[in-house]
Amino acid sequence: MKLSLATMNTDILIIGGGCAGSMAAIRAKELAPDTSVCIMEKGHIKRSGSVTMGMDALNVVIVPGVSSVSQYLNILKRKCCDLVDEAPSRVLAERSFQILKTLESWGVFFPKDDKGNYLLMQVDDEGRFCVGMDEPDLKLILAKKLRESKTTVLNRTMVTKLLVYEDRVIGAIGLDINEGKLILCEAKSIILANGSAGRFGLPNTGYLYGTFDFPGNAGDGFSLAFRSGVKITGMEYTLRYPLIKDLSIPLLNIVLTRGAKVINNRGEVVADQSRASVHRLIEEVDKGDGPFFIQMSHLSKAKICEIENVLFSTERPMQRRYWELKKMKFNRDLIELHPTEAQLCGGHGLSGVVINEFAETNIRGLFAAGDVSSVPMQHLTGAFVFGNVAAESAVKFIESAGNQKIPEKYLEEQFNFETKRIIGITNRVDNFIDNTQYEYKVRRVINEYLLSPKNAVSLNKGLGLILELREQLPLYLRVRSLHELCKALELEYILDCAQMSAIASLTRQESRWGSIHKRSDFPNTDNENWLKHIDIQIGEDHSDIKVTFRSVQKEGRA
Amino acid sequence: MNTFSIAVSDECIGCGLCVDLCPLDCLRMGKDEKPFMNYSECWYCGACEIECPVSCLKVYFPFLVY
Ligand SMILES: Cc1cc2nc3c(=O)[nH]c(=O)nc-3n(C[C@H](O)[C@H](O)[C@H](O)COP(=O)(O)OP(=O)(O)OC[C@H]3O[C@@H](n4cnc5c(N)ncnc54)[C@H](O)[C@@H]3O)c2cc1C
Ligand code: SF4
Ligand code: SF4
Repeated sequence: MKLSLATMNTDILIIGGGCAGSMAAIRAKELAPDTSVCIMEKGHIKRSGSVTMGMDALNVVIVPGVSSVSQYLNILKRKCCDLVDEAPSRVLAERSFQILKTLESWGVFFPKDDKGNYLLMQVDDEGRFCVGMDEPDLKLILAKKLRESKTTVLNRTMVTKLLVYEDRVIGAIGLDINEGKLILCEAKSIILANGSAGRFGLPNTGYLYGTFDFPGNAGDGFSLAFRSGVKITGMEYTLRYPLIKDLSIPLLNIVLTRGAKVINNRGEVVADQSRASVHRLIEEVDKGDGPFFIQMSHLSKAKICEIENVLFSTERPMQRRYWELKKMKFNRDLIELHPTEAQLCGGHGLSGVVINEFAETNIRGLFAAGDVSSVPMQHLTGAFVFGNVAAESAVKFIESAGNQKIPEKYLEEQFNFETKRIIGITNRVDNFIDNTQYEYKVRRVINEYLLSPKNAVSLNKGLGLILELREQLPLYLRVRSLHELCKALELEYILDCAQMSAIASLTRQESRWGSIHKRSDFPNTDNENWLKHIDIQIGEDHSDIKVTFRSVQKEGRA
Repeated sequence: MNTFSIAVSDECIGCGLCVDLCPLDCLRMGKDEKPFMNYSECWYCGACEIECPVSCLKVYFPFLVY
């Protein structure tokens, strides 16, 4: 395998072209048309990321006259057991309706009732913040906007390293997976928008890519940030969702908001329209009342039709085939739910890069948006709102920060260093374990030792195994193609996330968030000592990780 | 019998769009100028299927015999 080298520069580099990255590019070009903006996307911008086509709803929208920002913040705090910094979540809420309006003006379809009101749904125990969005072409609409904005898009380009000099970001290195080209990209500012750690725990089928979250995100964002000195938080929030067993495709919100029920093994109703907390469902599964089933036989034909329309047309059209192959019918059969694999995510949970309300990280010029950043439970709305915020901040930053004096040869040295590292990986052609086997092993360790119920012995054991697997990686993992090179890099990201998660879980000596962080050796929630964030930062190297505590920021803006 | 793969019918015009757009880089063009699943790292997102200009590609599921 031969690698070629190239260099380029841009004013703003965006890493990841999902909803957050696309939105950031569009906004940056709108604010500053003369600014050069480039997106490096591992897949292809048109279909990559958590959203392949569209989504059935924007989960966080404060519709004027229906709900208020303070109501949202109160409910969010309750859901997160008070571990919420108010300012970023406030910005999310305050700008949510404007984002809906912007999307609507671009042609994204938000259905309305006869009176002209948006379709509002309650997706948890309380609060009506979820607005129906019946738009299968969301991704295409973004791609069109992106084209019009004249953003440079490098598809199939995976970022492997962020370059930082004296606490300021100065560029990144990307690997073109089609061509085998390493690209040194100098940038005045960077927006990290490359998603969550979707390939973390192992799904119950054992099928590595059968995950809830987009498996192209192997924790790349968390790991790239971590390795360049960025603070990461909430890594003990090892989140599972109750989704369709063996398929891990969401449907719960869609069916519950339309009248379906969830029953336990005794046929008792455990969730319905008025009691829809997904986290409580997981707890009930853990208690042993499963298997759990979705029941829809009582619904009208029209409702079933509506559900099928949403499920099979906007989000994941493949679902229809699945049920056909299974010979199952919604109006007749029970659908089994099961907790998904564990994931670390700033969109559904609260893990990720620490940002403030301006999307700033602790590295100057580096901003983060979407699932890679910790704005608790921000969902798709967060990707859009903070895509905007990050772009605004990046544009401002390059206007005001001036040029960084970088010592001559610094970039060249960094590039040489990374090139050597990558070439080193490509030399592992004669190793004998393929990436699938290796990944299975890593993620099995995560499942066995790093998830609830957690305790110090198991977490330490798991951490030890993860460190061992990192050391063994160069010795055993076989790399014979560019595709496998990409997988080798992803494995390192998964290992980084596992290490961070183990350390965070060990540090939090209490139980919090129900089944998400349950320590059998510290079974109680301890608000006196643990009502604080656990931030993780790399020290000299991987064996020297710094853990710091940060108090929850209550009111006002930082 | 393959339990996890894509099925491509004869109408395929070999345009390669499905290969380009798969977000997980699973697909490759075969010598017969038809795509095949080279890496079974599929999320069954359906991007390849919906992008196919002649609707000749179908995605199946792991562990589900067809
Ligand atoms: C199945 C599913 C259903 C959902 N349903 C809803 C819903 O109904 N309502 C709602 O509000 N929210 C929903 N969400 C959440 C919402 O979709 C996400 O929060 C949001 O799309 C995240 O956008 P993002 O841009 O941050 O990440 P993503 O869309 O995941 O984009 C990240 C991008 O980064 C790229 N990337 C990764 N690593 C690298 C690298 N090293 N270099 C370059 N590029 C890289 C990836 O290829 C990807 O395209 C759902 C999520 C999922 C997974
Ligand atoms: S369904 Fe998605 S992941 Fe699977 S081969 Fe098609 S495009 Fe790739
Ligand atoms: S997109 Fe369709 S026509 Fe084009 S190569 Fe793929 S299967 Fe064949």
